[in-house]
Amino acid sequence: MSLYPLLRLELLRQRRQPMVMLSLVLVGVLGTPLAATQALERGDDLDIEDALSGEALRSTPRIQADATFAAWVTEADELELVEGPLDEGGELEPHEVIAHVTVDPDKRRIRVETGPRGPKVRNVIDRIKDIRDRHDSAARVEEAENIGVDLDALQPEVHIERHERADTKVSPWVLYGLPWLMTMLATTGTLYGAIDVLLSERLHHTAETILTSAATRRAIAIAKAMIVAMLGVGFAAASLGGLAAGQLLGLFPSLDPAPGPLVALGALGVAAVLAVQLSAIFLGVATFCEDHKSAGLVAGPMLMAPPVLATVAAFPGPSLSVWSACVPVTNILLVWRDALLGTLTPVGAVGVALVVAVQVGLSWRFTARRLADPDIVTGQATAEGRRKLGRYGPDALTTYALALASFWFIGVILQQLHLEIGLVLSQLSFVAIGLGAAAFFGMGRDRLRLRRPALVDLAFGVGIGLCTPALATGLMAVQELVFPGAQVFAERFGASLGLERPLWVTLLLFAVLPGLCEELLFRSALLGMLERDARPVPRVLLVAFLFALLHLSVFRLAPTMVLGVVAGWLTLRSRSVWPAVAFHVTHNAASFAVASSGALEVEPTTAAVAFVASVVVFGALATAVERRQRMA
Amino acid sequence: MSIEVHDLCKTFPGPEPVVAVDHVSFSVSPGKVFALLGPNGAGKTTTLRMLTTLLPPDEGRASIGGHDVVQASDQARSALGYVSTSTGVYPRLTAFEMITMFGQIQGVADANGRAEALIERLDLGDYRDVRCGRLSTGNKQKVSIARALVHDPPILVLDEPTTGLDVLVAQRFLELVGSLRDEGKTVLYSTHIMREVERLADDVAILYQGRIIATGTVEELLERTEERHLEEAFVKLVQAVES
Repeated sequence: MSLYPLLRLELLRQRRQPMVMLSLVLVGVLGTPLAATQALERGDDLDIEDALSGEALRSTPRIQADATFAAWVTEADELELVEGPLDEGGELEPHEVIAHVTVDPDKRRIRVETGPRGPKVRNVIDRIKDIRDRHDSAARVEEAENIGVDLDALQPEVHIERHERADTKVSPWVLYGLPWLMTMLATTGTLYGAIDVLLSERLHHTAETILTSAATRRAIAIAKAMIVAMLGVGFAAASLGGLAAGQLLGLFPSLDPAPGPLVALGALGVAAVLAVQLSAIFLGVATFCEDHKSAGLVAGPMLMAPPVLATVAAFPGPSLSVWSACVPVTNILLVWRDALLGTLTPVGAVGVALVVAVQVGLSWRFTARRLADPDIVTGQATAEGRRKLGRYGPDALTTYALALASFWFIGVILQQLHLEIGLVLSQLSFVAIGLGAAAFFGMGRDRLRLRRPALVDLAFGVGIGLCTPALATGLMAVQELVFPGAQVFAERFGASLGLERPLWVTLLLFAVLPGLCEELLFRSALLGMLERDARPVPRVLLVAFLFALLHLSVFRLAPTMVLGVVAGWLTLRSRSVWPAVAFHVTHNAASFAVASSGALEVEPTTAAVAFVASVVVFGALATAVERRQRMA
Repeated sequence: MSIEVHDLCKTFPGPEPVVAVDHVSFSVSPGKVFALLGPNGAGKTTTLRMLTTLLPPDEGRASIGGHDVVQASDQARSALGYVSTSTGVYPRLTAFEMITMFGQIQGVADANGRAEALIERLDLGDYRDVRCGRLSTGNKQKVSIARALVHDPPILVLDEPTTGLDVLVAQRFLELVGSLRDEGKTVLYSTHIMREVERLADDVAILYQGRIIATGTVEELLERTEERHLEEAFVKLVQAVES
């Protein structure tokens, strides 16, 4: 039987989609500046090729300076000066030269020309300020002594003017932003479409109408998948068009230069393949959804997953390998990234094409089988699905999706604008969402496990928190063997803790706040929400997985999940969240100590001894906690 | 083309398995209306879902126009038209589009012409280009009937088709079923409304708790139970099984 009538039927059914598409595209277009700017800012931090090899993380920032400023720089500043004539107004290459620095003849003003603001740019600006202050200090000390005031109260004599330039040699937003954007929109479009084409059949009681026609289940599944893929491509294309229009109108100057027509065509092609792949996956998933509400609960976490995968693919992460080629969404984006970099090999391209074809074929087959499943027809399967979903707490998943959305769309962007404020607000939003949802769902203090803990349990939390950094490091070392990149990431993560800010601020930002706020969301609110639905082990594992996923890094997934399991276990055993808070705070503080002390670079034998010792102490403490529980 | 059912069984698994259909057998000849009568939960819909290939039977065999519903499910579906409370219409399609689209899906050569003819026959002319979502329940059901008839199937399976229809529309619907029977179509009609059976059915099977407890013509059932109305005969037969 021809697919054509089925496709026409589906197209006629999607008459209202353009309106939905328009509204989502508007969201996409409005969100694009923020998303792309964020991607750009992250992009200026690293050269992707260097990042993959880890070079970018180890290299000293390069600046190009005039003779005056070059004379002020010392070795201790850890800045590499690029020699040669100052290329003022020429091409700025942020991955090679972070900033052009010139000092006015009267030495009262320093002009710093950089790419868009990002962590590395901020870092260089801070160093330039230090150099300026050091140069300035001799004169300032004298002045301070003369007028009898505190040196710090004086304004610097030399002012720094920062000029942002976007005419970068490499267009990072093409490398980073476009895959991210495409994934977001293709995901939204395809997931919405997939859910709608199946759920509306159930909603309008037309499932039996089509299933008792002459059309085969396979033809129905393929037609639906094709329509869903078309919707996904439509969403991506419309939004890319909106983005192009925005650029033409000059709305997003930081996005210059605009991608060329070939890049745009390539993006559309990748979006098409991505949408086909996503449609195949989502259709299968959507057969488990009974109604739009349950679909929404599935959609929230699922909409978050592809952007995370996209981030992994587009940012420094796994190279195209046999393993990464098998991960849906990621494989397409790795091909796209490598194609942009010009490093895509024919073997890689053909290999991924074959893998995608097999994945899509299997997924369609699965969907066709699901459509033929009598339980789908009778509603038994969806009722069963709802029962299972109920076990994993729709309220918990909704709360989590809210927290993830808040973190992903607000927290990360805020952190780009102002790291400290962004961090604080992200963490506080966890508490607000977690405890707000708990109040909404009528959870009491006991279910939230906010009771006062026994001192001994708190001590256990602290003790275990002192052991786990070594355990996590060991786990990452093992991970390094099967999934290279973890070590580079660990070093980068250690560096990003910001050794330049006061110790108490660092501890507050990276230990106390996350320890308190994340535990109140995960171990207090989410674990409590699942209490009536799931048994303890799956409950702790699920919450630990959600906790790990929130950290938005494939490298941290395994270690963070282990930490989540430990925190969950502590909470259940002590019947209070506070030991988990103590554990989390101690773990983060100890990790910071490890990172800042350079302990990551110790020789393997010492690391192994530390690891084994930590395992032994951890085991002893865990046994003590279990014994105390049994006695209680 | 006839419907043949032999020892059909279906059990829904679960903590407490439900035997929905228990060794049901019957046959329906062309030009006849066979009524499957039973209370809610008797297994009527499950039986029809197996016949329309929506559910696979656990045991037994069934064929539609000689096509086995498991081995040759595609051919079996092509030979039947199915209308039930669960075979809705697509709200964003007009009545004409709905009928035409299914004509094309069923492989009708002149789907448009066939749709126009059915619209005229079912008195849907005023609603031809109205989206199904805006139609009344009765007109939606007419569209559904037209959709089921668009490929001129020799066999019709109707599962409580008058549910939700007012008396006048239901009356006209029954007239339509009668005329289709007179055209030689094989009609399997499931209902719990006794009057419809009395008026329409050539043969009746009373289904109760998944089993057929009585078969025959309406007259035979009345004679057997010594009752004057089918409703009383039905109650008597069910009570006999329960006791």
